[in-house]
Amino acid sequence: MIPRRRQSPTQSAALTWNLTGLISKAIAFVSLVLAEWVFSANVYAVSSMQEIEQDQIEFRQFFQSRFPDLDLEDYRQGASALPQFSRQRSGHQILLSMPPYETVVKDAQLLWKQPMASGATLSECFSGKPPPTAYPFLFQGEIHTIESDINNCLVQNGNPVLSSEDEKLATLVAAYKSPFRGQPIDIDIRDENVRALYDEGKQYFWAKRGQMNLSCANCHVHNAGNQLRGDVLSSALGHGAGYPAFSIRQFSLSETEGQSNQASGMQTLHQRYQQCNVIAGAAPLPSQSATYLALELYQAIMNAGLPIDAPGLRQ
Amino acid sequence: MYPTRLKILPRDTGIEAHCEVLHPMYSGKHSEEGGPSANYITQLVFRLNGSIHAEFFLGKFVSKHPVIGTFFENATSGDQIEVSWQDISGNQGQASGTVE
Amino acid sequence: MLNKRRFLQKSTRWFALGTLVSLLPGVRTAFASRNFVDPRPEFASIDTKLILEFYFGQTEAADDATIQINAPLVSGSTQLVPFSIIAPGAEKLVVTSTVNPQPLILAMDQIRETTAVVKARARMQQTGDIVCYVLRNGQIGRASRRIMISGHWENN
Ligand code: HEC
Repeated sequence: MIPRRRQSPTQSAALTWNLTGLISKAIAFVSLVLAEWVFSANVYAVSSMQEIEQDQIEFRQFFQSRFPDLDLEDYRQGASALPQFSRQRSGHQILLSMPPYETVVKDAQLLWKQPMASGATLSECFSGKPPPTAYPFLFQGEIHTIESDINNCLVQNGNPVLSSEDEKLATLVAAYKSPFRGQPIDIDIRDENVRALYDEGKQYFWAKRGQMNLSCANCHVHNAGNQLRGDVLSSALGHGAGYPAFSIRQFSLSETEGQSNQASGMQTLHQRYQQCNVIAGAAPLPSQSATYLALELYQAIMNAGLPIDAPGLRQ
Repeated sequence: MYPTRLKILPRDTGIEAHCEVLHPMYSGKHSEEGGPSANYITQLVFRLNGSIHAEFFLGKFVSKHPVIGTFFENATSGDQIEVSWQDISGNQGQASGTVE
Repeated sequence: MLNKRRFLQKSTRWFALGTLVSLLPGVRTAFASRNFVDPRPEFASIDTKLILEFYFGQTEAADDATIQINAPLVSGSTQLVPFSIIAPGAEKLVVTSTVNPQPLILAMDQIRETTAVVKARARMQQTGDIVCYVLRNGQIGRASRRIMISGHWENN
């Protein structure tokens, strides 16, 4: 006959503890549901400034533990900052000693002082505007990027707009940003509408899409530093700080297409987003579309405090 | 026709000079398929105070928007550095600068 | 039946002959290079010896560790491969690659320095070496660096 097991005192204590645990969990659950009902307006509200700051901290902690040797400001250099870039680094360094973007950007700096149809110059248009470190910003319900402000200025002064595919636009932006190299990104997030756009961009960044069912984060957070077809995947922290950038790839591809061989290789951030969408098998959106603008804003806010480093040199 | 820029970079032991030309350096590789016909820089000369310092001969395997850099050990402040080039279509260009 | 056999024999013979002819040096390049040929023989040459003969008047080269070549281990692009060369005592300098249809990339002459310094960016069609030849005191020195081209990009 099997002897009946006596319950040990510790076991019965555990049981009572479990019971109280269960009850307190139930109470917590009920009160959560209640709170959600009472504050239902707030549950779906935009992120608060504290929440955004928390996002920033978590984001940075992730990369800090993934790349312990990097300082925050190193991330502005994109993939070339990462230890996995070591085999390409020597070439990168030699190229930087004779930067392939320098002459085009210098020439574009002259364009900023050239009178448009109305006689005004681009520099005059921008004299009252915030510095490039504060872009993108929300003003009168619209997100302003340097690209959109250049085009607004051109139209107001009787000139045709530049298409987003026109390298001249990327070069003009690079020329505007380059004197500010090294200054920290500083986006104003006090406006609730800005934070709503932040949420939209964040949602786009983390959502999976396309034939391969990949989110931006899959490549640039979870796989940052890994190789993809010979490219080192950059970390999402720092995205945009080096843009517009000189893309060696764009410079080289145009070389073999015969016709438009004069491409300087300058690329805007939104053109990079489009490329990323394409390699992940998702439909690219138009440059300066609402979604890309929100995405750019989200990435800029995550970069707060990082120095801008445009134009950058990219593979 | 093609913008030319000379960059003078002071170094510990002398002066480094870079010449960049926004030249397409068409190799002519795609001329059969309607691409542009060959046109690239064939000769590029650096002069120090008017006399030839280094002469480069280039071919179609030099990249588009070529940068050619070289060194001047004995250049001193006030010296004039000039660079000039020509391509196979007869275009020419030059740039110059003074050592600071 | 007989005709068919003769046809097969004949065509095989012609095929074999064609293959043999195409193996002769120069024939294939002549057909392949319908594109532009550089009018300067040293740049059109597929033979490094001819290039050395042209610039240095001799062809015997020996490895020389004093020539420093700085170049990327890996380049993502075939179109923008940067390199820099420091060659003490060089009177003339020639830079070639082992992988382009014609080896000569650039040559440097009339060097008014005790040390020749060259920085440039080259096209390299695939993984291979950059080889630098230098004339010094009537001798040719040689140094090379391997560059891996990882150009996985379309149309490269
Ligand atoms: C399939 C993987 C993949 C996905 C998904 C992807 N990218 Fe990329 N992305 C790349 C690669 C490869 C590069 C080029 C190498 C590099 O710098 O990371 C790149 C580069 C970038 C860069 C340039 C970084 C720099 O400073 O050089 C940005 C910005 C960027 N991606 C943003 C995004 C955004 C936003 C998304 C989501 C819409 C996204 N990427 C989705 C693979 C991906």
